[in-house]
Amino acid sequence: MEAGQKVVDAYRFLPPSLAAWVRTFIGTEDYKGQIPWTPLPKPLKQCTFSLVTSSGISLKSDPPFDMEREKREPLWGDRSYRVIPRGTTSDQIDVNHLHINTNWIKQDINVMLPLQRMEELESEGVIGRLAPSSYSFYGFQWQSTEFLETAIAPMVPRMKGEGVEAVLLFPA
Amino acid sequence: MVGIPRTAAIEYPFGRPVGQVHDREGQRRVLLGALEVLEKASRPGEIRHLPFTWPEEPKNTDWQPPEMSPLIKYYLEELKAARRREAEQGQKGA
Repeated sequence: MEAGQKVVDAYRFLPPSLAAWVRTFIGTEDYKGQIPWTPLPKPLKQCTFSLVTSSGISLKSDPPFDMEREKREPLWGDRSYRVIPRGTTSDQIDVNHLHINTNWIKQDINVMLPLQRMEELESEGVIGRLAPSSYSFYGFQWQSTEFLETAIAPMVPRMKGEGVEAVLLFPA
Repeated sequence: MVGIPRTAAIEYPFGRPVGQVHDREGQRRVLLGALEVLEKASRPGEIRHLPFTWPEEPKNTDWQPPEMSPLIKYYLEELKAARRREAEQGQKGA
């Protein structure tokens, strides 16, 4: 694949005033701080994968992410997470997110969390395995890192228990 | 704050980073592109730009929520001010 030709414009889909505001707190220089790095331990076709999305997907059988409190407190975002098992289909999910149109994801979960596509790549031998569990949290976390403890940290032991070696993150 | 180890950048609308609804082949290509980044990236923070182009103009993508988000309502005046400042700076730069 000829990656490297196109340069992605991260602001292309934002209305002008929202883009101007975002530019006031996103730096134009490369990030200079710490970046975690774990080399890929083996070929993709031998790796066990899990997926994580910030899009507020939940199973209909689980409590939805809390949008009502955010409507009352505009700087608060739900700090919990949900497990999304492999095999989950679009008709089994709810999606709650006040910053995007969630209807597309409800029609086809794979536009956001491509569980079916990963299962296909597994059966073709492109990847080793999709783990039993993937994960969803709520990406609107305004000036708060509390969700790292309440939503992200609990994913880790479960991933280790399922032998996960690589994680793909899908931001909303 | 920490940086992202490897990034597959894509110019798709918010809420549909993998592709269009029921576009199995398109979603597959994006996913293979992301997996290739995982396989080939060699240094922390590496960003590779995926070559795909969304088939609709931004204003036709209908990615925004039906109601303005609580955050945007809260900061609406600051958004407008940011846009005015950029317009003024643009004029100075011209």
